[in-house]
Amino acid sequence: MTDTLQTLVQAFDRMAATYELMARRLAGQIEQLEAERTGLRAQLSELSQHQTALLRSNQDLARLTADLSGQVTSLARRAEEATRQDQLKSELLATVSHELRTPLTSIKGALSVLLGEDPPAPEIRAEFLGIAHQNVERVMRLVANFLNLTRIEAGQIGIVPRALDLAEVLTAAVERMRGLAAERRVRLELEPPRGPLPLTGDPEMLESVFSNLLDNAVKFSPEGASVVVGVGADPRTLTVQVRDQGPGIPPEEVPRVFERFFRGREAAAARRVPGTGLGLHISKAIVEAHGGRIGVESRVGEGSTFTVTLPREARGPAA
Amino acid sequence: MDTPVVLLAEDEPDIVRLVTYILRREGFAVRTVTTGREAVDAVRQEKVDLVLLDIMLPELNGYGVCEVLRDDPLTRHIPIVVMSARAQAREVERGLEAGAVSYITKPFEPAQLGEQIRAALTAATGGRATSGAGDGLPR
Repeated sequence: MTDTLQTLVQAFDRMAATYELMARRLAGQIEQLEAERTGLRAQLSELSQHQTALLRSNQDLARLTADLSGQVTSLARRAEEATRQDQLKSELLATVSHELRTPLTSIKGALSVLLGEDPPAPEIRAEFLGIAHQNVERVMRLVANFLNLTRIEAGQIGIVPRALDLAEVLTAAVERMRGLAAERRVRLELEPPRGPLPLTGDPEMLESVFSNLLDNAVKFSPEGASVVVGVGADPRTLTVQVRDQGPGIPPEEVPRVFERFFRGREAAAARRVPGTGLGLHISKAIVEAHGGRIGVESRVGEGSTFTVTLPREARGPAA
Repeated sequence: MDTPVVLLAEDEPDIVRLVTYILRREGFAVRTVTTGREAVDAVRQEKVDLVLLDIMLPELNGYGVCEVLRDDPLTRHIPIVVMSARAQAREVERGLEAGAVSYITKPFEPAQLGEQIRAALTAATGGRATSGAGDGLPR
């Protein structure tokens, strides 16, 4: 019996040993799996970090792309603007050259007749000399406008301020217009100021402003209408109003009249009124360079009133 | 032949004055209108032997006037001379294509004006007296 027991014990021993071995192997495998699991967790964490980094990179790229896109758009807009400016300049040159030909035609025609083989009678001589003279004034105005415009564009609307009498400036501007007004049968009136109107400013520039306003007023006035220039004064400012009885400016155009090249529908459609659309634009720049303001009130069918307010002491452009 | 009547379509008063003086001195009668519309109406309703037309007119520009007159069988025989401050060849072509017989660029020489008009009239009439589209009554 002892042999059987011994055999059994040995068998159980062997089984125990086997199970122990198996257990140890399993433990080993579990250890291994756990090590792998730790390894995988580490990898996962690393991947996670990579993913976060990539996401951040993506966001950076997206921002960069948006920036670049914005820059491209802005550059494209600037290129477009530069092309437009170029075009405007070419158009301006063509317009000015075209506009100049009209008064030059009158000057040349008048002088050719006066100098020709068959000189006209004295009254006609006087009339034609007047025509030549007025159109010289017109050419001068056009050229002055053009020069002022190029100066404005270059940011160089340099006014040379000195002490002046606004009454003299207004009188000179009105006298310049008498010829044209008479020809168009428009009554031109300067409400006489009650005394001198001292002001610090640039007399040539200011005269060109009032010449432009008067030129517009006379050109747009029907025969028999009046253009009136009035002056107001207070201790610190002088105000000049140019009132006409022309067709008036439609409300939707009023905000635009001072834009460069802007010509209202009336000018284009009705009686053709010559002009480059520059006068008011330039006038506004000059007035503002004196620290003043220019504005217009108008009613269609009744007329317009342009008001220029100037500080007695020329300041720089108002803030 | 009666005094040829030139219809002047021009809205610049100084130029009207000068051209009228020059043409009358050359022996033409001058009738003036200031818009394209008025020009067309005048040719249709009055005795007109030649039209001297500024390109830049309000209410129907010079080219428009040329085309209207040329398309109307009653007026297409009347010679048209266009005036323009635009001197480019392209503009000249356009005027001639629209039906003008000759083109004057501003500023022009007064002597040249008279000559071109006379030449255009002679070419149109072949020396015969012209008959306009109107009823021949004086304006």
